[in-house]
Amino acid sequence: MEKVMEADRNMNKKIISLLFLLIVMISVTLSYAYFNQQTSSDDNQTGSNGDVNQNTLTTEIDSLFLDENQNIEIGDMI
Amino acid sequence: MAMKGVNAMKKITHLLLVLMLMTAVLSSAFAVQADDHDQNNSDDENENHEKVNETDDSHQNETDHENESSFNNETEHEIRVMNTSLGARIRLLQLEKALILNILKGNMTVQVLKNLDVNTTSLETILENLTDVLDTVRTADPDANDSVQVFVQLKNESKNFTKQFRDTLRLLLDNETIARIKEQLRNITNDELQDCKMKIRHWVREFNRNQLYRLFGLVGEVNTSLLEKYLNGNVTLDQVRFHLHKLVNQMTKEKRYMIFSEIKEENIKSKIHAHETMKNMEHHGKGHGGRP
Repeated sequence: MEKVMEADRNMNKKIISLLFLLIVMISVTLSYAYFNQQTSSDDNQTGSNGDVNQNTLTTEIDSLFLDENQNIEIGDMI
Repeated sequence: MAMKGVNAMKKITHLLLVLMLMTAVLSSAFAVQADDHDQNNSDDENENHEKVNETDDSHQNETDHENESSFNNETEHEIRVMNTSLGARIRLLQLEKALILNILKGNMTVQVLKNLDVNTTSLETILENLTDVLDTVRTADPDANDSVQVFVQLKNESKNFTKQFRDTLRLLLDNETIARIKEQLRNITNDELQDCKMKIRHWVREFNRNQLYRLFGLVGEVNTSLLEKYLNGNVTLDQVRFHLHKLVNQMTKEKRYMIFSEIKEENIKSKIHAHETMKNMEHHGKGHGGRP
């Protein structure tokens, strides 16, 4: 009887370990999915509320202008 | 009792199956991410022209290729504004300025070499070629349909003659003398160069004024007196830009998004157009110098 109880306890331990492992795996998967979603939303130049990223807008506007001191590079003579 | 054992085994089997499934999903997810990362890296490398570590034998070729690629990318960037005659005029003037400066430096170098009793015939021939290119740049029509092609060809010719001059000079003088002459010519200038700079400044302000006028129009508040002040040099571009950004920040996010979309669309269009032009020119062999 004692042996049977011991076997049951061992079995339960195994099940608990596997469950614990499963929880860990699920946590990793969820964190990964969350991180990925955040990265792709960062890439999309607009925030989650549909507003345009300030830096992106500034960069786009600034790219429309020319610099008075810009040079055309054809190399140096010496 | 046996039934209990079988049930427990079933539970374990199920859990193991789920675990295997989770592992497979995770592995494939990481594999996809790694693949994306590799592709992004190679794209970034192409865009930024970062030098890669290669063997010594291929290093020179690699550097030449990188320089060529960087030069073409710069040219592609420069021709984006050439869809208007004002943009084309500015680019041709900027090329003129670069040529004036190089010819000036070349002439001064020849004078120095003559004083050192060095034969300068080959250098003078190259300078004559560069002067021919300068004359062609000055007579190029910014309103012509082929102004972009003309600009790219002349820029390539300028680059090739400049390199030719530099290489010939290296055969005639040692590095120390070259470095000394280079130092002497660092801040060289003349009236012609100053005049060209003034013209560029004028046309660039005109170009930026047009862009600002359009942007203020999109915002819905055209401040013509501010634009005139910018044109006359009474306020800087940064000051006007600051005012514009302030107005944009006060707008609703929908309106801001509308402006962003419009600008982005225009930027992408000009980028694609410039890229296609460069590709076409490479296909027709006009992208590496040599007149049509």
